Amino acid sequence: MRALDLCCAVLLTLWTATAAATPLYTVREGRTCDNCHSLPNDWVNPDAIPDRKCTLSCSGCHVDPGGGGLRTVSGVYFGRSTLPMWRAVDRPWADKKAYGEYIEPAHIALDAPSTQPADAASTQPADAASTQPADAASTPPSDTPSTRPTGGLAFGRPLDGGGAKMAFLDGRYGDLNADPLLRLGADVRLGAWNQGLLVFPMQGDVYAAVHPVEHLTLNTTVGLRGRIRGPLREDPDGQPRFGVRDVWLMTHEWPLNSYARVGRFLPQFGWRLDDHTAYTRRPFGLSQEDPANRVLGAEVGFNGNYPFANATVWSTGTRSAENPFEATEGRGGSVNAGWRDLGWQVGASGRVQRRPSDLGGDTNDASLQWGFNPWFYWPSLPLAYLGEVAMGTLQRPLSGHTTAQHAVYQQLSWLAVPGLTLHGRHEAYDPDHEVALDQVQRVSVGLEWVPMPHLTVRLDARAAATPVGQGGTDAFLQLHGWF
Amino acid sequence: MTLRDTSWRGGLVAVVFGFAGCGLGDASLDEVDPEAAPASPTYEAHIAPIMEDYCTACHGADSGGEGRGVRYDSCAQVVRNWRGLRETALDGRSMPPPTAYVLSSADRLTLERWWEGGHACP
Repeated sequence: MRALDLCCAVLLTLWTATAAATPLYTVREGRTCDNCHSLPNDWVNPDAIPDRKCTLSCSGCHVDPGGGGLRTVSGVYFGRSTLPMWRAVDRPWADKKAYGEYIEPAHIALDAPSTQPADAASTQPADAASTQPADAASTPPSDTPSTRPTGGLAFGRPLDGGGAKMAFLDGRYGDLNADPLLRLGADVRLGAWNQGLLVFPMQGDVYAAVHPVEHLTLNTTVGLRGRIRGPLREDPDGQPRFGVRDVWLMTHEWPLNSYARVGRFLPQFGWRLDDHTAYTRRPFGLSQEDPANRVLGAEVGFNGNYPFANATVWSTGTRSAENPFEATEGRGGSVNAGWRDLGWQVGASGRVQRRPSDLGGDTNDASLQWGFNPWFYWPSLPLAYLGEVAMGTLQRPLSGHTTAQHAVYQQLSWLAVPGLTLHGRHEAYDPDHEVALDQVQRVSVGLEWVPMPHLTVRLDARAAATPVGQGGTDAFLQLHGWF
Repeated sequence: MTLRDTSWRGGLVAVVFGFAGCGLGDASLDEVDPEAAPASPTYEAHIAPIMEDYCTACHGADSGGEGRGVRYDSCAQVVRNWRGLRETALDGRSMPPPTAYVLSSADRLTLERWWEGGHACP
C-alpha cells in the first residue's frame, strides 16, 4: 500500500505542477495594483463604493468567497506575474493593442511601469491601487474571436454573453479569459516529513466552475480524501479515497461584490491558513483535509472595498464520500466581518454549532484576526505580519461536559527577493482549560520559494515545547503545483 | 449546553495577559471529569483507534524504517513497547510529534486506564 501511495504521489506531481492561496498574500499584496491585474495607472475609484470591484478578500483571487481552491482570473494572473522568481509573465502592457477595444482608451496607460514585488519604488499610489472603473465594464466588449483572450484553463463565454458590471474584465490579465463559461483548475501537494522520512501526497484536487450566465456560477471540487490525522494510508472508515469535496451554486457579481451561495463547502471562520496543522484550524474543526468539516449550508456576504461581512447557516457535514449531501442532525452558523485595507486588516468571527456528540458536540467559538503590511507604508520594508486568536468551548464526547480551548497564531514574513519569502511563526494552544500541563507552543522558521509560475516549494523547521518537557523538532518540505 | 463562565474568563485572561498562550488548567482530566474517558477501555474499541490515528503511520507494519523499529500496530506490540509509549506520550510529550499533533487528554486518560485495568488483548 505504501508503494501505491508513493506511485500516486509521483504521478500526481508529474501530472501537474504551484502557488498557494494564503492569507499572507491578502495582507501583503495591497501594495500595488498590478500584482493582480494590469493597466491600473490613471484609474481611480468610482465614487460610489458599491461599484468598486477591487478587494483584498479571498474572492479577489478565488472563486470560493471563503478562499482556497479554484483561482479567478486575477488569482491566476497574480500567480503568473507577481509570485515567481523566474519565468514570470511580463505584465502585458502590449495587450492594449490586442485588447484595447475592451477598455476605454482614456484608461490605457501607454508607458505605465511594471512593479515586481521588490521594485518598491514604483509602488502605485493608494487611491489608484484599489479599483477597476465600474464604467469600463458597463459596456461589455463585443465577442470577436480574433481578439478575445483565450489563455489559461478557461473556455468559452457565458451563454448570455456575460460581462456583468461587477465581473472580471477581459484585457486586464494579458491573454487570460476573464469571464469564461468554464474554468478548470487543480492543486497537487506532495509532502515530505522528516519524522520517519515520510513522503506522502497531501492533496490532489481538481476544480471546475461553470458560469452559464452572468451572476450565476456552479463550482465543484473533487479530490483525494486525506485522513483526519496522519499521512494518507489506509482510510480507516473504508470510504473511497477520491470523492467530492465541494459543490455549490452561487449568485454573484452584484454591487459590493456581494453574493449568496448554497451547497457543500467549508464555512468561513478566521484566517483560512493553508497549514492544516495550525492550532487555529484543526482543533477548531476547520481543517480542509477532513471531509467532516464541510457543511451543507447557505451563505450570504459581500467583499467590498474595503469592508467585508458574511453569514452562514448549515447542517453539519458528513464524511461520506459516496453521498456528500447526506443530511445529519447537526446544525450551526457563523458570522464574519471586518475591514481589509491596503496596509492593514482586522476581522472577527463567531460560530455556534449544535451537534450530536459523535459529530463533534456543541461548540461556541470566536476569533479575532489582524494583519499589517509595513511594505505599503515603507517601500524599503517588504514585511507582512498577520495573527489570530481563536477561542471556544468544546464538549467532551463521552461525558458531555463542556470545557474550553484557545489558540494563538502569529506570522511575520519577509519578501527577501522576488519569489522568495522567509517567515517565522509562533503558535500556542491550550486544548483544555481545565486540564493542567496539556498546552503546547510551537515556533517555526521557513521559506516559500516560487521558482516559476505554477510551482511553489515550502520548507519549514518547527520546534514544539510542552510544560512537561520532551518537546520535539521536525522539518517539513512541500511541493505544491496548481493550475 | 451552557458556557462555563470560568472558561471564558480564563480565556480572556489568556488573550489579554498571556498572549503566548499559557496553560490555564490546574488539575488532571480524571480529577475534573472522570467520565471523559471510558471507565474500562478495551483494545479494539478504544486503544486501536488511538494507535491508528496517531502512531501507526510511523510505527506500523508497512512503515519500513520509520519509527526506528518500534511498532504499535497490534495489541501485543503495544504491550511490549508500553514503557516507551508511557515515557514519550503520557509522562512526556515527545510523541506523537508535538510539532504536528496534540494527543488529547481524554486519549491519554484512556491509555492509562487501559493499562491500569490489565491491558487485556483480544
